[in-house]
This record gives sequence, structure tokens and C-alpha cells, in this order.
Amino acid sequence: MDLLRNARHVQVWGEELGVGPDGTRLRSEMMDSDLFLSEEVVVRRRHGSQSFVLAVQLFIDEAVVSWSGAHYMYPIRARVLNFRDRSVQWVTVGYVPHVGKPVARTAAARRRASDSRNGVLQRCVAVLLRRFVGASQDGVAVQFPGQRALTAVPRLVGLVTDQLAERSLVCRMGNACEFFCSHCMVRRDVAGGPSGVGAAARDVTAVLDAQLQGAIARDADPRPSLRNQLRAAHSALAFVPAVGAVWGIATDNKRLYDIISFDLLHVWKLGVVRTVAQRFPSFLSIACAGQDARLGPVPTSLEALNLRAWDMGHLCVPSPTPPGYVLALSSLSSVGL
Amino acid sequence: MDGSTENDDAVARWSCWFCPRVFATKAARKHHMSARHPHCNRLVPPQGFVELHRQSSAAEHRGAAVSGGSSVASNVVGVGTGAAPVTSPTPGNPPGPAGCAEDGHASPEHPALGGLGVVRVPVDGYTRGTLPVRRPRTVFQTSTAARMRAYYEAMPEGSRTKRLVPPSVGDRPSRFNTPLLRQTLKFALSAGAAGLSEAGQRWYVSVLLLAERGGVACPPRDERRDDGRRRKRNRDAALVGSARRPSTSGGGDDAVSADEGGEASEHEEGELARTFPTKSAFVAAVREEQRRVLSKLCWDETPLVVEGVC
Repeated sequence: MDLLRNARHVQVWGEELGVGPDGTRLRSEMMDSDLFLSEEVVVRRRHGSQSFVLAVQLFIDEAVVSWSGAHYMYPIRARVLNFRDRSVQWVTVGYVPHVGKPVARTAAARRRASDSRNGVLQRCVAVLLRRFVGASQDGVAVQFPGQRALTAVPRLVGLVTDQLAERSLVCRMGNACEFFCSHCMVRRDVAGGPSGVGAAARDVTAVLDAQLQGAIARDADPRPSLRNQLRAAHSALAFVPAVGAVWGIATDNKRLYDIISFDLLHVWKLGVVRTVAQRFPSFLSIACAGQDARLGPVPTSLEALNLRAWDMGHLCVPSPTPPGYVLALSSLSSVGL
Repeated sequence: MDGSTENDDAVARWSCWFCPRVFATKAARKHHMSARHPHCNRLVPPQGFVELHRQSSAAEHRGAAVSGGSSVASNVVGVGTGAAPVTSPTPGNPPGPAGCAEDGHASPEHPALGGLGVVRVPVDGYTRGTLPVRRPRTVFQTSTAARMRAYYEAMPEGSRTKRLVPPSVGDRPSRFNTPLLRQTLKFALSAGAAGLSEAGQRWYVSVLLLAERGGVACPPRDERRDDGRRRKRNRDAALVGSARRPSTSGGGDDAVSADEGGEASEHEEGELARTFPTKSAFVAAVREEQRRVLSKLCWDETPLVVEGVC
């Protein structure tokens, strides 16, 4: 609130841009996005015409905090979109400790470490958002100099993370699950194809209710067999997403899965390169039709690709988990490659 | 619902239970009541309500009931104004909103149901199947967001949050109070995006001090301050000197000359050297400034116990 009062340029209400030459609606930034404008409608209906959305984005990523590289931590950064000052940037608002891999190589140790990792993250986020949650429901009175009092209603409109952190924050399983899409309930075996189009959207309330019940059951009995139903029905973990307590995430427009946005750095540096790298073995095997590529056999070609990626400064580590949502083989064979 | 027969339906006029409007059909009256009186009990008519086409026959019965002192009549009189024994919200005398919702007199013969006002039903309503069997249960009906908030507020760490740095630290003035010192601090904390390590800060401030002295090597006095053993030796020597000074000079000339020498050296020292005479002083000041800012920003620390590990 102090930052809000002391900011030189504050945009209180969003504004819809006009229509472009081709007839489509113009959008330039978050303050004129559909998500923000729809939240603004809800907020002004609930809290009156003198209220406005205090739009906040959160950024969570792993960071090295020791010079030896042995210690990691998750800093949480926040940005208020209403500030229009150029000097206002991301502000670190919290740190989440890192939970490492278990020493013992047993299933129970891995489960315990996984539960600890998910629990620490969610409880840290819950502590961080404690006052934010209350303000998102009731609003906060703000008095700008020389103007009448307004009601600022905080809303979470962006969750900037990589894919791993996104799954962790909304307490969903990783890629190795049946329903891997954040927005819809498309099945893994039909995703990417015509039969996957038109899959039902995720029911935010149903998933959160199931997760809440699962979390309560897990607190009483941590046996993983009790979570099978949750895993099979929703591909979700038995934890409660702490961001769901923020008003507007699980209420009104239910924006829990709409606020997820990717960090451009991750998309370019890890996401795109890694996704392309994961396709290359299949691509080379089919493109070469059993023969060697120009650089030699497939492993040799992959080594050359990795070397090239290192030269470009990209860390290229293919994931052991198959992606499963692009039918590369059928599409390649259909065009005669 | 109100017990009328088919013959009555053919010639009847249906008045609203709560206002003077009259309708030709029961469906029209039902639609009107659902639209105009949504908060009133529309399951059964109000007590004493008599349809228009039955008022002539009911008047005789009502007169007998009042003269007999029925409990229903006495209850309603107690609630009303007392000027007139109003017993029914007839079209000419509609009930108020309070009477429409509940009148607060639930008798064992007429049990009250919660929800849409107070519903008075026949005693055998449950047994005859006109109403479902009462299943009292506790229902916590609230939003998903509120339940999730309550789930995390019930965690033990909710009351264990404490200030990372005491508030008194934030009240102290900053030692980096000039533009040069602020830029020095900014570089020390943001160089290479993550800032300098403590060793890097020592190196950085030593370069700055060297530049302030015009490239002249560091005097031995500063080096001695860095070394703890030498500092202790200096302190011992100073104590011996001060103890010996009165006996040797007797007037304190040495002290005066030492002060003059100190002022002269201070004139030669730059701003950075005056504020941070040693490299360790700079590192400690940076650390203290970080704590001061954390205190001003009200950073908290919350211990968590997850899976038995703190």
C-alpha cells in the first residue's frame, strides 16, 4: 500500500483498446487483457464503482544462493501491474527453501521427500499470501493525494513460472499422467489429434474440492493408496493449492488455470530447445529411414546437436519422460518422411 | 395446496396471499407470488387465509372460533397492533414482511422448518409422505476459497511468524548517506546480478580506498587494524603509553601532537576512508544496512515443520 501511495504513475482501471484494421480487437498488455477486464467487472460489482483491481503477478523460480552452488532456494517475486513507473520492477517478497532429493533410494523415502517438497511450497505460499487473501475478499481503502478514497481489491492475475513450478503450485501431477493439460481434461492418448479437440474444461471447483478432501485424508493417513482416486480422476496431488484461497481464483470467474503464464526466458532457453531436442531422435530415425545421417549414426548426430547447443549457450537436457502429446510419428509417416 | 375442489376452480377468483391482487387462475397467482413475494412462505397459505369465493362460508366459522378463544387468534392479536383482532392477511389487510417470514410462535403441533421462512405443516406430514423425513445434520456451506483459507490458517505456523530483524534496527540511520556511499553500496549488492561476496566486497573497498589515497600504498596503521593480534598489541602499547605519558611529559604535549596529526590525516583521507576506515568496517556496514532494510520492509520469518523436519 505504501508503494501504491508513493508511486508517481498509477493506472487504476483497465481500458479496452479499439479494433484493429483487420477487425480484430487490439491488446497490448495486461491492463487491457480479457482476464483483467473481466476481473474488474466482478470487483466493481461486488465492491462498488469506487473500487479497482490491484493486479499482482507472482514469479517463482529456483535460484542458486551460495557461491559454491550447493544451496538452492526459490525466491518469490511480485509485480503490481497498476504501477506505471518505469522504475518499478519485480520485488522479491519471499523465499521458499529447497527440499533436496532423498538419500535413501526407496519408494517411501521418495514419497516422503515429494510430500515435503509440495508441503513446504504450499505452506510457504500460504504464509506469504495470508494478508493478501483477506484483502482480496474485503478490499483495502486507499487514499490518493487530492482524490477521494478508493477501494483496492487485490487479485492474482499472473503466475509466471516454468512448467515444473506451475504443476507444483496448482498441485498437479507432472507429465506422466492421464490429464496433463492445465486447462482441459483431454486424455493423453488423444491429445494433439482431432479427437482431442473439444475436450471439457477443467472444473476448478471440483478439482479443488477433491484436493481439499485428499489433503485432509493425507494429513490423517499418508498412505499413497488413498490418493489413487484423486490421481486417476483429476491427475492431481493430495495438496491444497494455496493460491486458491485468493478471491477470484476459485470463486467468481475461477481463474486458477487461466493465470498461468510462462517466463519467456524459460520458454526460449529450456522449453523450446528441450522440446525440439526431444523430437530429434524420432525425427532422425524416420528421416534417415534406417540409414545414417550426414553426421553419422543417430547418437553421433545427437552429440553434434548437443555440442551445437552448448556453443549457442543453451543447456540442453532432454527429459526422460516422453512428452506424449504430439503425434510426431504418424504425422511424419503420413507426409512420406 | 389450499384444498379447493374442481367445482370451485371453475368459478373462483384467486386472490394473492400477501397483497390485494386477484387472479383468474391459480397458476397466475402462483406466478405472481413467486415474482412479487419471493421471500414469503408460499408452501401453505397464511393462517386464517380464506379464498374469496369461500369467505362467506368461512365467516361464520371464524366468528365461532373468536368467540371460543382459539389459540391461533390470541397469538396473532398479541403480535398485532392490538386495536383490531386481525387474524388473517386477507387481500384487504396484507401482512407485513415480518409476519410473512415468521411469527416466532412454533407449537409442537405445527413444527417449524428452516429455510424459506417458517412452514407450518400437518402433524402427519412426514408419515404420509407429503414431506421428506427430517434428517438433521450439520452442513458447513461456504465457498471453496474460504475452506482452503481455513485449512491453511489451521496450520501451526500461523502463529509462529516473527520478525526477521527487530524493529529497532530499522530505526537506526543509514551509514550510506551520501551519493558516493550509496553508489558504492549499490554496486556491492548488485554487481553480477547477485552482488559481491564478502571477499569481493573487501577487495572492492580496498580498491576504492587505494584510489582515494591517490594510489599510495596502504599505511601500516590500517593494516594493523585488520589484524586482530596486532590490534591487541597496539591497544596494549597505547595503554602503556598513556600510563607512562603523565610521568614523562607531564603536560600532555604528546596527546596534542597526536590529535593534530590525526586531524591532518583526516584532511587527507577521503569520504570513504573516513566512514569506513577498514575493509571489515565496510563489510559489516553492508551487512547492517541489509538488516536495516529488511527491518524497514517488515520481513517475517516463519518456521515450518514438515514431515517432522523443521
